[in-house]
Amino acid sequence: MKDLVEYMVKALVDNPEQVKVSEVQGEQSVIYEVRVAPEDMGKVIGKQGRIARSIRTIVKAACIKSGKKAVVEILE
Amino acid sequence: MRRSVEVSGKTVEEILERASRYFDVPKENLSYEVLSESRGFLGLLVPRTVRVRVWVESSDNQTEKSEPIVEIKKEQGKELESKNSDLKSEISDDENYQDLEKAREEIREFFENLIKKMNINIEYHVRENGRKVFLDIDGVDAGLLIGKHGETLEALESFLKILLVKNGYAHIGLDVDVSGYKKRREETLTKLACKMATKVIQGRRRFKFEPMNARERRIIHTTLKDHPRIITYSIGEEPERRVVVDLKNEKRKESNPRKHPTTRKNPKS
Repeated sequence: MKDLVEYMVKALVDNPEQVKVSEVQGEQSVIYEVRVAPEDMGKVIGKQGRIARSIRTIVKAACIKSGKKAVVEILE
Repeated sequence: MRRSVEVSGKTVEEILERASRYFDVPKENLSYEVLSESRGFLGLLVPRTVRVRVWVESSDNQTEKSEPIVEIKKEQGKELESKNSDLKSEISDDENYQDLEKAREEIREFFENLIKKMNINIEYHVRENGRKVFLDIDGVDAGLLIGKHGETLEALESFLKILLVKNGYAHIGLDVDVSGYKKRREETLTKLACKMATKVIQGRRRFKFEPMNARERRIIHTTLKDHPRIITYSIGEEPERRVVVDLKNEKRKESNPRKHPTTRKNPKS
């Protein structure tokens, strides 16, 4: 699933080599922390967070089968 | 006289091939200059595209000097000008078509990788109809890609559209559907809109729909736009924005909806 987050984020940004995704395992959920180059922040978040919301929705859908909740956080 | 044209394509060879047909001269007589080379999608396996200016020098015509084509157009009047613009539109149609094909392949490649990483079991088909790219999805796990009230489908579609824009295909439309969900939803909404219009007329009270996304609201607006006794408008802000069906120019309990503070005039919304 980490792969998925990374793949989607890398597709959006201009500096894919600066994309870092780390996985924090919780009991019922997994948190994916996404870090991108400062100039790419806007591309990942989008107007009113629309792109970020799309990423979250798609990742959530992919996690339904695994039964664990996924949280995607975009960090500065 | 010098005739030149700018073309994009996968390889210089392919472009020269097309240009030779286009100018109707053998490839050997063409000169070219590479203007730019662009990266393929995500810089992965897809072939790069090159933009090349191709020109042909021919001595048989009225103009002896090598001149920019624009100048020649002015001197030789309308006949050549119209011929020229014909050529231009032919090339640009050709380019549009190529863009469409490229966009289709990018969507296919990206989506293929995406579903692998999502680890879901679906089938899909990517096609293009000359104007737009279509991605039709079906299969065991298709439901996952629809989501609650089509939420995941919307997210997927908007994500893919953003990718198209980012990769230089902003002018190409994309339509994603999962198991005919959007089509069915459109039929349901059209019927519902008619039913609610009747109800509003009978009950003389306005009706508020559930919150819907822009595309779905639009379906309601479009269905009722020519109704003689009904008007529709939207209230609230995304994602709670909802359509209201109301009586047109008739007495009712509420004040005129056009004065409603959150009403936007644009019927598309």
